[in-house]
Amino acid sequence: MQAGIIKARRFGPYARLVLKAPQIAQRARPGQFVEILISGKAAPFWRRPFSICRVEKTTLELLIKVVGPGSNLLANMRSGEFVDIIGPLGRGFTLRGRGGMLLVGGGFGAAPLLFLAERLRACGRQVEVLIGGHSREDLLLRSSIKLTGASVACATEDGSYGKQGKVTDLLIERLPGRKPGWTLAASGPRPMLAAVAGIAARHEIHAEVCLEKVMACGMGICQGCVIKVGGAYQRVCKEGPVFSAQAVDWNNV
Amino acid sequence: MNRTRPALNVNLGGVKLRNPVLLASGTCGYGTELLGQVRFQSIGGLVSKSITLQPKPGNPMPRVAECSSGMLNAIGLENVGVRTFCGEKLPEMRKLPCAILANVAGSTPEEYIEVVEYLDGRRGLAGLELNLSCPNVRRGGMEFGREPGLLGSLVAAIRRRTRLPLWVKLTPNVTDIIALARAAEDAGADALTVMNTLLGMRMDIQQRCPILANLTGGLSGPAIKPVALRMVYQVAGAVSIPVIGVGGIETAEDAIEFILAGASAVQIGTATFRNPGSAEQAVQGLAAYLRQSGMTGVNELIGAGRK
Repeated sequence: MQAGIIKARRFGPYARLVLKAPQIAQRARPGQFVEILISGKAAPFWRRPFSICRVEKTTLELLIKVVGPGSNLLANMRSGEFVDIIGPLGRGFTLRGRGGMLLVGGGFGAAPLLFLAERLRACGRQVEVLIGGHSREDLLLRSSIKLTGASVACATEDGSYGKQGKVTDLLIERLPGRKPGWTLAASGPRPMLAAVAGIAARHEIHAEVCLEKVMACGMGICQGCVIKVGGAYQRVCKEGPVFSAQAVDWNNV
Repeated sequence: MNRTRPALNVNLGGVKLRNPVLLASGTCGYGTELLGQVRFQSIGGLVSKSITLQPKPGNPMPRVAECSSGMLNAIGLENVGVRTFCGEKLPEMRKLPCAILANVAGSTPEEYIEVVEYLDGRRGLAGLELNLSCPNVRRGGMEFGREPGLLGSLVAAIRRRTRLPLWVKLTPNVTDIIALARAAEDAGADALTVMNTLLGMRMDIQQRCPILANLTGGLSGPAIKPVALRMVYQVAGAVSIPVIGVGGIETAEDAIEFILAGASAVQIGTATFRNPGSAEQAVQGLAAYLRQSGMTGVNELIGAGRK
């Protein structure tokens, strides 16, 4: 379907787009994604997957990072233009339990955590969000996440904002002494997710991770985006992109 | 002006379709994945993923690579195996309002035969398509598909074991596709699907190695359309059974080119990934073209561009 862009803001290598897409917005769950056909021409040939960053009644917001010509075209689109979009796709976070939730985001990977924090807060759940990045500019969405009522803590590797170090250091600091019932959700670069999975296992806390993978179809057809989960191949686009951290074979993702 | 609706129905070696546009094997899963994206009542049919005797996990990752106007895949025939296919997938597939064909692959003649015998007589199957052309598995059928003698004896053996209409899908990775097409026809194939993907490769210039774990993969998408069209033209001129054109078809105009070249029907493959509505739009565009040309049906168009 065609979705009109109603707001577009470019900042550095990133952009935030708000699209009018009622059918997608009404069905979307945190962790799900959409597939956008950026050009109808020779390249980029595939649609590109984007996490849903936030949903309002009839609109959805996407966070775009420019990594190549396709994302660059998309990041430069203006309000009033249209994009060809399919979604919502995949399986989102389970939102299981009623306890508090710690969300861990790395850089651009924090995109689905805003949507997740909003939904959790709407259910009255306690939410703590830990955001990491190389430096201050990589700490995306932190003010939007704060507005949901979640508490936010940051870590930067160069120490330009928040704690100096990795977001997983922050996680290790903050895990002990929590009441039972707290769970973890993480989205970000692969090494960060693997580290979060390890920490969660040591602390015996349920964790869900949102993975990214190159996708040819995004709809569960081509079997091109599989990873090893529980010893068998599973499709990131269909059984994922959110998986239980303990089930993922981190040597085969 | 001709105001009657042109007839789109075709008979492809015993497979009767409401219109000549199908979804190609490997690009529509088991059909049900596309519920909500494809209106199955508006297309002719679909061909399942390749089904093998045992379930196959498929190749290591990465399995896909993007190219200009196309993509490479080396999925490696990942599928649930024929038992689960019949037990779990087919009961759901036959609820879809279009013709369902099963694509069959194997690594030995015995395996092909066993899969075909298992599928024979299953309710809801309109026909079989033999994959004698998978380029991504070491013994994935392409060796049977490259040598006319081997191809002929395999098709003949399978022919004796099923009453279902039998389509044979040919590989383009050969020097002489005509000899293979004739061997399949002589062995009792009811129709030919032309063509499978073209072998290709891409390099990762940072890692300095092939992108695909399998090193090579099958090229699909609009990049291969002219090659497929040429092969359909050649094969349609050499056999008297129907030819189903596949390779890079995205639009009604693409489909019309193939039909002009002699195809009786077309399959939409990779285009579905970009636009799940491609097949339905091709049907609508074809109907409009026939109407505007004053033709009574698609049969008038088949081979009309041949010299």
